[in-house]
Amino acid sequence: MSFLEVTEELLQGFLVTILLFALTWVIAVPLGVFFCRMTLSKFKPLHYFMQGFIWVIRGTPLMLQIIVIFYVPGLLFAWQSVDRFVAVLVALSINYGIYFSEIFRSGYESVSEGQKDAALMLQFSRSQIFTRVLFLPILKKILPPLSNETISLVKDTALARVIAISEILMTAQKIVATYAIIWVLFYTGVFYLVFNGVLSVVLKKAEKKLAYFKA
Amino acid sequence: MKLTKTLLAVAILSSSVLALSACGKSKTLVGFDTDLAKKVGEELGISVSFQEIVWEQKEIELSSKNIDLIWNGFTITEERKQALSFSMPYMVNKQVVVSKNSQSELIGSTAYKVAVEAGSAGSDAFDGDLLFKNSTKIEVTSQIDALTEVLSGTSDLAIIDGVMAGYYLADSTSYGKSLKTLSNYENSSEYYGIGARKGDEAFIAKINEGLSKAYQDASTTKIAEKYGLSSALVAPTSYASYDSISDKSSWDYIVAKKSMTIGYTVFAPIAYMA
Repeated sequence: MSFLEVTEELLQGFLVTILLFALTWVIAVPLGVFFCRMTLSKFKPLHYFMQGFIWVIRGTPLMLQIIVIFYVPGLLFAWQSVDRFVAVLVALSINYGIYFSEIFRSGYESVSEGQKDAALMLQFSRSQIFTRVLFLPILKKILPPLSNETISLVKDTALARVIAISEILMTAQKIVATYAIIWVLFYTGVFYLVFNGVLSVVLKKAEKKLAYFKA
Repeated sequence: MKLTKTLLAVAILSSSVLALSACGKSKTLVGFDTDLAKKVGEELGISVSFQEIVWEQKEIELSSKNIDLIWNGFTITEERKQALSFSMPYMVNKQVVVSKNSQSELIGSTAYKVAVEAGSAGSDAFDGDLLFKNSTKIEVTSQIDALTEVLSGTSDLAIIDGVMAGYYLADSTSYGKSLKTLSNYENSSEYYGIGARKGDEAFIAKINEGLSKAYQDASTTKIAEKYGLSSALVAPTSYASYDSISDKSSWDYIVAKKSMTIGYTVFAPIAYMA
């Protein structure tokens, strides 16, 4: 198999990787905001429920979560399992939603109470306080950890192979299993590096833009 | 927002590039087991679909009904028989020991590092052989990974299926150039069969019927010749006929679906894309 053919096949696997990453990110960010709001809730049962949920999701391996979401419906209830891709998407979104929510929470709690009080004194409404006063300092605070998790997510999509989704790593392993050429496996690293390189540059730029705001 | 847009742009751009490159040529699943399964499906008047799986997950795929059969160079063992229903054997296979070309023949009490696929017949061969009593077992996720272990020097030996070794150690491959099969290792023969959910006896009876027919009209031999596996074929043995089985629900389930789903992993020459 020639270098070009391998590249072409790996690109097809990498499309699945990118698609998983992009869709998960787009779902997990709003989900994280939602989880964060629930965790900060003054309604105690909801708060404790979220504490338990965070404990379960952060305390178990993502690989296990993917396996549970895909296989358990069929095993316990004899339901038709959901699509493999959807199962991975759900598992990744919930997992990353929880991590994002903790990042959002730390950002929210880091903005000093004084700022909120001052805005209240100036008769800002609650929504105005959030959009005009808190939002940008929070964004600045959370961007570095968010960037970290975002890049982590690109690599964690590789776990999809555990339920036989042909993302780039599994695609490579299949090429190795068919043609018995090994370099293909290491070549996948180049794809991740290029993509994460571009991503890092974009995220750095966003951080620079926000450097204007003092925390 | 800018970030989201950039990411979406990247996704859209790359997908369109790929859509273009994917046009024109498509590969199909081939291999001895794949072709034989299609032939058996034809005999039974049932369409056959193939679902790629991860080998460690094969039993769970079966019990959650994502697949109906494990048909992928699947060795019949006593342990597996307790949890699964097996068809008659259709192919014979021996475990072989692979090493670097520089390795001398096996010596009994030496401490080797031996790579095997987790849960494979090779792994059982390691456990059951006194030859390896001082050696360490290294369990990897596939047989090909076991070969990679030996090639990279992280393990001294690998125990894999003879059927696979013949294919992977061909001279032109990454492995063939520096690996060899050790000749002084003897292991009893084992047989490939098709695995179904425990109790699916009626379904298995039908599969056996299909296997026998395919063998008798020489289709099996033709398929085997295509993949260089003629010497590994096994003649059909006697089996419990469909009529003799009282619980026919497993076959009714397949008939109602009009198709059987076969779980496979890519490994040449059993199932691969070409």
